[in-house]
Parts: sequence; C-alpha cells; structure tokens
Amino acid sequence: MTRGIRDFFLFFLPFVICFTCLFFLSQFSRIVSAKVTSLITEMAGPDFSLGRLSISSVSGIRLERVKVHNAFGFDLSADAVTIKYSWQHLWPVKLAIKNVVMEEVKIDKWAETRRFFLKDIFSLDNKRFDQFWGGLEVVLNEAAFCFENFHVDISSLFDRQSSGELTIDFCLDGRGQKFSLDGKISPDSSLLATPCHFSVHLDLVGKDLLVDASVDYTEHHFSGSGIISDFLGQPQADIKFHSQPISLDYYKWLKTVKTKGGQVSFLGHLTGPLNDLNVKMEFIIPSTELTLEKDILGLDHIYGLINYRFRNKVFSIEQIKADVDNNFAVNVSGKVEDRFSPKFELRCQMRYLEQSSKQYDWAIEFQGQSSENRLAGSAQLIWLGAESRQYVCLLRDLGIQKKYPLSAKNVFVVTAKGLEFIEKGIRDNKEFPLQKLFFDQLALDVNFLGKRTLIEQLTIDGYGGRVSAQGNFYFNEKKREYMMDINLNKIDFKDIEVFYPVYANVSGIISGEVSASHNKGGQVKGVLRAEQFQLTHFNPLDKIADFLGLSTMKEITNAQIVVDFDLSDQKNIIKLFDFDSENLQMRSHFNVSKGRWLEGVVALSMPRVMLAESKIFKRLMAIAREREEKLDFLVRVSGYADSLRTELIESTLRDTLKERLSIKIQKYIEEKINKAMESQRN
Amino acid sequence: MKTMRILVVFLMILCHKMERAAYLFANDLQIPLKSSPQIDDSFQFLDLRNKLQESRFKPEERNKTHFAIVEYYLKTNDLTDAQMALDQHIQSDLVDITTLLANVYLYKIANYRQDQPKMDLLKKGIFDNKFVLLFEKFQQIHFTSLLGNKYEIRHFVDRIEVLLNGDVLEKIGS
Repeated sequence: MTRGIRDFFLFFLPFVICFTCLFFLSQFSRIVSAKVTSLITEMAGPDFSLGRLSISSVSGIRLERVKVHNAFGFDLSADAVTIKYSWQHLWPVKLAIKNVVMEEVKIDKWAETRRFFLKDIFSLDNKRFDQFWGGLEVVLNEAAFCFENFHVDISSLFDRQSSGELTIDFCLDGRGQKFSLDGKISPDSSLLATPCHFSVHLDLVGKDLLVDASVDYTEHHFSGSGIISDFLGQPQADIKFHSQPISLDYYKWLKTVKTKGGQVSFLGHLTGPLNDLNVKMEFIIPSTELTLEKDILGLDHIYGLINYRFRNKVFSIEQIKADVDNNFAVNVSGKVEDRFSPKFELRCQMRYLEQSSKQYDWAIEFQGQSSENRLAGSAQLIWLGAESRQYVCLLRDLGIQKKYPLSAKNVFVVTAKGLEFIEKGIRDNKEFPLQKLFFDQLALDVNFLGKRTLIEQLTIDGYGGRVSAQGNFYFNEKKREYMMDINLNKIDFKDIEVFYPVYANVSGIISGEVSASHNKGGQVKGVLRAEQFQLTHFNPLDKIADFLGLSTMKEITNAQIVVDFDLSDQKNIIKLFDFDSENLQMRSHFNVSKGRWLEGVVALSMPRVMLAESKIFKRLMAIAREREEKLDFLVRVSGYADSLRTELIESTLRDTLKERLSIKIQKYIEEKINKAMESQRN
Repeated sequence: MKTMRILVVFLMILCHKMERAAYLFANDLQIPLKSSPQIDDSFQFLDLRNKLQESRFKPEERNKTHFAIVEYYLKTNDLTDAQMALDQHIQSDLVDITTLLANVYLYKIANYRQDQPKMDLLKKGIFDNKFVLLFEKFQQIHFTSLLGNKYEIRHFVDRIEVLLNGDVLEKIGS
C-alpha cells in the first residue's frame, strides 16, 4: 500500500467512524424513540393522542399536538411539549425527567369543577415500568414543569354569562416545591374590560402553601400574602391583600359625575375552600365631590364593606356609608345576586347629622329584580315622625323604569299596586301599630335634576277617591328645601284615627288641599273639607261636652267640616276648625305649641232643646228664664291635649245667671259640674 | 396643738361660709319660708322623721309629714336633700295637694338651673288636672303645711299661681 492510499484512508477514517456511529446512534434513537413513544403512551394511558414525536439528543423529546383525556381531572391539549431528560443509571435503567415545557396548553370545563389541579403536580410520584429494559424507573419528582400560554376557560366562574379566559405562564419546581406564576386574564372577558396581570409566588411548606402575590388591574396595584393551609388535603385560603390609594379620576364610569378630588384604597381578605372562595373587601374614600348637573354633592367619610362569594355569586353589601353634603349620613346594606339580571335586597337609611341620636330618620327597603332596564319588586319607606311615631309605606308590585330610555334625562316612572300606610307608635324601643290605610295603586313621574328631585306627578287611588301631588326636594349643606302640594279628591275615609296635633276619630268624604314646605323649619298647611263627616273622641270637643254635660255632643255626625291649618315644627295653628251639623255649629281656632300645649277658642251655637238634655242646664235655663231657641257660648280651652282646662268666656245665659244667683250658689254649681267631670274622668 | 387650733378655726370659717353660700342660694330661689334655721327646728325635724316611721299613719298624713320635711330642708337651705326629698315625694302613690306643691318646688329649682327639659316634664305634672271655670276666673285652693306655711294655689285656665305666706312663690303658664 502506497503512502498516498494510506493517507487517503487515514483522512476518511474519522468520517467513516462518525458516519458509522451516527448510523448506530440513529438506529439507537429510533429504537429509543419507539420505546419512549410506547413509554409515554403507557404513562398517559389509553386516552392519549399525539400528532408528532421527535427526539433529539440536544433538545430532548418534543411532542406535538398532544391531547390527553382526563389529565388531572380535565381534558388537556397542548400544541407542543418538550421533555428534557437524562439517564441516571445505565443498569438498572433510570430515566430522570429534568424539565417539561408545555406550550399553548388548554384545559376545558375547568370552571365547572374548579378543581385546583396544581396540587396534583406537587404530588407526582416516580414511576416504574417493568416492560422496558427489564425495568425502567422514571424519576418525575425532580422535574420542573413549565407552562407557556396556559389557557383556562373561566366562563361561569363569576356568572353564567361571562366568557372570560385566563392566560398564565408558570413554572413548578418539583424539587424545591416552589413555583412562580405570572399571567393575565384576557380582556375579551365580559367580566373585565382591560387585562388583569398577576404574579404569584407559591412555596409549599409541609402541608401548607405560602402565597405571595401581586395583581395589576387598570391603575390598581394590589399586593397580598397569606396561606393556603392543608394544600394537599382540604385546602383553605386565608390571604390578605391591599391596594395603593388611587385617584377617583381614573374611573371612567365616574366621568359623568366629574369627581373632584378623592382617593380610594382597598383592603381585602380572601378566605374559604379553594372551590368556594369568599372575598371580603373594604374600601375607604376620605372625601370627594361629585358634580350633578350644576350642583356639587359633597361626600365625606365613605366606607364600604362588601362580600362576594364565588360559588353562589352573591354580592352582599355589609355596609356602605357616607356623609352627604355635611347634612345627613347615609348607610346602605343588603345583597345583590346575579350580575346580569340582579336580584336586590337593599336597605338605605338616612340620618340628619345635626341630631345626636343614632336613630335613622328615613329608611328605604327594596326587594326586587332588575331586567330589561326595569326594576320590579316591592319597597318599604319608613319615616320617623314627631311624638314617637313611625310612618311606614309599603309598595307592592313596584315597577321603576326610565321614562325616556334613550334620553340622558333622569326621569323615572314608578308604579305600584296595593299600597299600605301604617302609623306606628314607639314606646320603650318597641313598635306597635296604631292604624293602617290601604290604597289601590300609585303612579309617579319623578325627575332627578342635579340634586333636586322633582315629583312631576304623583297619584294615589283608593277609598273611592284620589290623592294627587306635585313638588320638589332640594337638600344642600346650607339649605334644606322642599315643597309639596297635595290635593285630596273625595277620599271616603272610615274610622281614621288622627293622633296629631290632637287625637280624634274621623270618617267622611274628605277633599282639600294641603301643602308642605321647608318654611319655619318645616310647615304643613292646608284646607280640608268633608261631607258626611263623623267626629268622635275629639278631646277639645269632649271637654266642652263634659263642661256642658251633653254626651251626645261628643259624637258629631253628618256634618260639613272645614279645617284650615298651618303646622310647623315650632307652633301648630289650626286657623279654622268649623263644622255645621244638624244641631250644632262650631267655629274655632287653636294653637298647639311644641310640647303639645294647646290654646284654643271655640264658639258654639246649639239649640235650647239640646241643652235641656242636661239636667243641670235645664234647671239653669229655667232659673235664667231662657227663651232663645239657640244659645251661643264662647269657650276658651287651654292646657295639654290630654288634660285640657275650660273657661266660659262669653255666654248670655251665664251672665243672666250671675245676676240672679248668689255667689254661694254659683260656686256650688261650678263645684257640681267639676265633680261631674271628675267622675266621668275616673 | 397650735396648728390643730388654727385648723379647727379654719374649718369653722369654711363651714360658716358654705352655710352662708347655701343660704344665699336658697334666697336666690326666692322661697319666702318664714325664717332662717332655729335651734328648735332640729327637734321639730327629728319629731317629723320619727312620725314618718309610725305605721299607724294614714297615707294623707304621711304625705303631709313628708312635705313638712321637704319644707324643713328648704328652710335650712339644704337644697340637695330638699331635691332628693321632693323627687321622692312626687313618686308617692297618693296624689294630693302636696304632690302639686312638690312639683312646683322642683319646677322652681329647675327654672333656677335653667333645666328646660325638666321644666317641661314637671309642667306636665303640674297641669295634670282638668276643670271648668263657669263663673269664676280661677279655681282657688288653700293649704297649710305642718310647719305652718300657708299656700294658696290659683288655677287659671292657662296658668297656675302659687302663693306662699302671701308672697308669690311661682307662676307657671303657657
């Protein structure tokens, strides 16, 4: 062999060896590939399908278009899975999985079960396959699992109509049992308008998982930490989080009310089992101003405590309170179920800040559901009145909707059927009903114009007649204005008890006009007329009847009555309380002060025949030789409403008697009448 | 010893000043009771207290005796005890003329202290009685207490006037 041929062979020998090695390596890879494929198929079970598999000594095993049925309890698919491994022992063969990277992973119907599958990854055990090379052990618990673009369908996680998708990247280090998770909730969700980015660091310590997380949503940055106890068993979350204060200007939905100043900060607490989480959120806004049309609405000390339970989707408002216009305190509580067709159970209470009492002056309770821009349900309005009285208005079959749905105007139409007005007394913090009034239906057009509430038209039908009203309310820090004109048209009341300013029992067909306004710190005035009027237990009249000794006078029937009154917080004036019945005519006026001290003058005209029913008067008229068919008396009544004193100011009969009787007899008569009255009282 | 003597003298002066202050306070109330405290009154007071213990007393007599004790406290310028005794007096089951007078005294004290809520409450108790004035301008009631003080109560339709030993004690009205 010549030197040239030898050099030629020596030059090509390494190539030949390499090609031979590569040939054997490719043959070995083919065998290994076939073995690994059958191994993976064996590991994954019968519900495993694979598009393509390639094995590279550099990049490891790459699986494409992988689908696994019932992996960790779900149907799982991945565009690609790259597995990096190493041989730990050649005999017995031990394959250690170092790294598994899954790309574009999707799991279906997670939201239905909400199974927290990460704990399955944490608890992966090594596996042994005896059919491979006389027994192959696959080491899984040292592997790192990474998921890139892991898509989780979270439809119906919050409510049935949401269509959100959670996209997360995360890596799990099985050796240290720690993993970090970075992801976002995609903005196509109907739940979120903008993406929500989050970063979570988890650390498994014993049975518990320590959580350290941060969430960025719009301008909010939440950070929190906590623990998921007994993570591998019955996991229970206890994670607290908070936000940095954020300006209200960032909230687009508040743009229409042009907030001026104000920052909000949140404090949250996530608790409960992972498949039934409950989040309790507190928020605080120290002070802000809203612009409603041209009015400024000042809100101070806004505090909210709300609760959301993921499983039953109930949003409960434990408390939202604020001081409005430095004038009154508002407190809202209740719950809302179902975000898209919400069911409400809300209670709104209002208290004037100037009052030291913690008792609320007004309360509105609403129960109902919202659908197609209409609120339907029932409501209860409660008002604490003077003299330990509470007035309640129950509205059944209540409907509230916008009058012009396409307009920006806040005009609403309110309808209700089956109205009930209840007057209650309060004694020793206990309520007891005094009387109830039932009306058939209500129709109201109400317009909210800035801070002014305009009652454009209110009609209440019942008792064969109609009550109609118009008015407006305007509450501000400096002024509290209201004005209401009420018209009563032939309301046929039966046995209505009037408690204020003086007790009386009335029946009759009542018509009239009443107006209420803020003048004099609250004033109600008006004129009422009644036909077929019946009046009983009217204390001033009872008093006069006792004085005259005529019990028949205590019950006025078939009278025509006119009442003209002007009632305010400070002083109540009944300018006219006149009635004409068959036998009796009365003209009177009364003043009632704040402590229910009554001062009144009553002019009575009654037939002599009627007076003769009283034995004393019969005798007195005989002494005075009274021949007039009708006798007139002018009487003054004074004192507290339940213990009135009476003085006869003018009477021809009395003057005649004074001339004809001795002082001793006069005193005797007076004593006799008073004793008679005292015996009636007892 | 000298220090003790100075201390005793100081306490005596202090007691005298306090007594004087209390007396002036009672005078501010303008209660025209007959005289300033006498030594005999103490025995009278003890006698009244002893009588009050006697079970054979009728309720009316007990009320009168208790009212006399009230008067004694007022007379000795002991307003704290007087107020306590007056409060106790109006709680009595028996309502008579002394109840009205006790209410009037309490009203006068409340008026002096400008305690409007209490005045309003007491006014309701004072104007509790109903009556009719047919020929007269007012109803007149006389009462002489066990200490010899003469009261005259005039019930007008809109006010009440109480005279004590001929002087106006209090006028209460609308």
